[in-house]
Amino acid sequence: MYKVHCLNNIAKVGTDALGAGFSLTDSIDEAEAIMVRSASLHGTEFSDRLLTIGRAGAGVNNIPLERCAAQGIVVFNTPGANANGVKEMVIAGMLLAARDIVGGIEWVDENSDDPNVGRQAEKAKKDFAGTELAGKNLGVIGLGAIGAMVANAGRSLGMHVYGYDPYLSVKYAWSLDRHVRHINNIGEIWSSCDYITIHVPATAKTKGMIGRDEIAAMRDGTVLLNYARDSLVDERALAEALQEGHIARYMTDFANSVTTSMAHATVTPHLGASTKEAEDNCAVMAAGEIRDYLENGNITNSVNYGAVDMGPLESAMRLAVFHLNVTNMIGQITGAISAAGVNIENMTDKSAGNYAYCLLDLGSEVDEELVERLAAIDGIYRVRAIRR
Amino acid sequence: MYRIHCMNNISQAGLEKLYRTFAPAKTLEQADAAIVRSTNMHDIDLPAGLLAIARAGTGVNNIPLDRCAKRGIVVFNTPGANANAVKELVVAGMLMASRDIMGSAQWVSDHADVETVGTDAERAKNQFGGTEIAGKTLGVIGLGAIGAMVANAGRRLGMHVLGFDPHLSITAAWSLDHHVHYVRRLADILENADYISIHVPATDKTRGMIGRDQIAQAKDGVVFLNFARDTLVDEQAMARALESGHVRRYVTDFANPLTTHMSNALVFSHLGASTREAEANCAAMAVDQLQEYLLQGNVINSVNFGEVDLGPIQTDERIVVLHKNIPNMIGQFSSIIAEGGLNIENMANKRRGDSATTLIETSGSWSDAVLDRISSVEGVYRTRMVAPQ
Repeated sequence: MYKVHCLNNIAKVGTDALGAGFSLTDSIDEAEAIMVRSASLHGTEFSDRLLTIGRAGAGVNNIPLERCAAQGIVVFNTPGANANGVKEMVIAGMLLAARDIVGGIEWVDENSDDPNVGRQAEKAKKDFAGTELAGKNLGVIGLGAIGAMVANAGRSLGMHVYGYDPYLSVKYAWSLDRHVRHINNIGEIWSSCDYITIHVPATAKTKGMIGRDEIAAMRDGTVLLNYARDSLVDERALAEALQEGHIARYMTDFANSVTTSMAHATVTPHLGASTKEAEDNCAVMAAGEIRDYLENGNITNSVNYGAVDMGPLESAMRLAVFHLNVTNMIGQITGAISAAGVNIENMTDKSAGNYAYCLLDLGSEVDEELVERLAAIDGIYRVRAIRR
Repeated sequence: MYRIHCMNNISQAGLEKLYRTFAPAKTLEQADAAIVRSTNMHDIDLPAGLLAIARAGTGVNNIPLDRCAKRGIVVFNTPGANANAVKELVVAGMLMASRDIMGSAQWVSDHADVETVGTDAERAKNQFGGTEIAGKTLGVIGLGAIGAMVANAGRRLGMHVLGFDPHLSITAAWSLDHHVHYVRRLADILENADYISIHVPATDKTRGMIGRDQIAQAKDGVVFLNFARDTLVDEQAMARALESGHVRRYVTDFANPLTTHMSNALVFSHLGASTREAEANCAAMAVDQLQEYLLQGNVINSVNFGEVDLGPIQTDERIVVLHKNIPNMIGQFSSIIAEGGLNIENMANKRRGDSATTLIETSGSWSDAVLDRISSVEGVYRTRMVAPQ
């Protein structure tokens, strides 16, 4: 029986998804697994029992990834679980940018006590008229889980869609509507698109990728949408372009001192993933990752260890060995197992920075003594014996 | 050359198209036909020379249809030209009803000068969270040009879609995504849908069709969207259902003293068709229809006469007869034509409500006498001869 401690409210569908063999505990020190949303774990000491942390969501700023890695605690997040939530937000963003629906609602509100409000609206409404999405060009930068859904949604709303992603994976290429035009030169996005939406992770490489020159290369009247991260855009340069009217509108999910004082910007308070369904999906996905890790040793969507998937545990037992990413570790691990007369049926070893994870299917059960002997090898900092 | 008077500004694209075929008329008196958008024509004198009024748009509440019919004035509208504009607004309405995007943007505005607005937002955003539309059930009432597009959009956004329309046309049926589930009872929509969008014309029959009982029958937490006409809904009953929380939100494009004071209503300023593209489409379609009618006699998308389309004129001339829909009209016309020594080559007749359109092509030339005899048949509003250009 594994014990799971939930920080924050985790949707019940998520904890239910852990299934038999799991129980919830109020004590963080008793738990083999922690489920968390946004609560900060930076000041938390982790017990030796703790094996994994599942973040129900995408961002992991609240978790000390390096410290966890050093302790052999595998941290998971749930990329893609919120994709539909963000996609619907992007559609709303495009529609709100195309027509001043909000201005119209405010006008009605201000005139709510006028008995002739309906007739007055006929005169006033031309101020709130706009354009349609159908037939316009949409550029999607980054075609991961979210970008691919946004691209397909654009297609289904009758837009011409240009997709750019130098790291496009087979999985998402497969899911893309075949009328999405795959663009190799990002300049074509700037020069062709009426709406441009960004869906790339925030890294040192992507920081400020929409800079002054990129903005200048965009068409007059472009609508820029940012539901990824504010650091991707040089927002000072953008503020100038909005002021001049070169960029028609900036729809962003990130409030900061620059965006809140921009002209022609609609700023929402990071609502992209704030839907009940996204929360449920995240919780269910995190539960699935924790379960597969604890029961099978498999690692999917970890942010501090590489992906290892040997499927369900079908051999006599499985050993998970955490070791420093230095030479001759695998030799020592396999040597110790062979010396005990045990056959290794399958093995995968994946490194991530300074650390590495080795998963081995064994032909017969081994005793605690071998586990301890492995754990004593210099450079090995955690060994888990997983039995069926 | 026929002369057209524009009662309202129409789009540049529409004007260019118009004056390729027609000449402008400064006043209604000088015009053979008029193009109108929202001007109220109920109190305007209709000159005897006016043959047609084309409404660039769908709703024709601003036009006295019966009076026009009796004066032999064919009124057209442009259904479908604004369909995509309305569809996109319905999609926006569903999303805005599901998540408080507006309220959240307002929150940011109110906190624009707070240095920690970004981190504060992470705490504040809980109150603006909502739900998604994917996986929910959308009920579409009325599957005309707009309803069919809304139904298809719902499907493509991952919704389950139920469609109800007792008068479903072949064109609309053809255009529907085949995963749209066609239901035979309005109750099937009411009992199953999370979002209900109404797209039926406002007539005496449809007035108040979403009444107290229908609202009561709908699921708890249902969202109603009304981008058709406010008279379709019993808004007193809707106000109470919103107040009690039975209806989650009423998204309506119609501001009136009732809707503006409803709790949990999102009231738009009649923006459904207010896009540049829709205006251009409406104007272009209105011009096309006037061209068909004035030059060929074909009646397409009329709201007060039957629709007849005999294609291009095949003989020397074609006679258009606009008349009351009463028995033995065709019989009288054919006898008069036979007595005039003419043979009928093509003829079509279509009624709509109390009036009807008849197009007649004969071999041999019409005399004024024959035409006069037809004009004087009891119940004939107007006869007109059109010849190939």
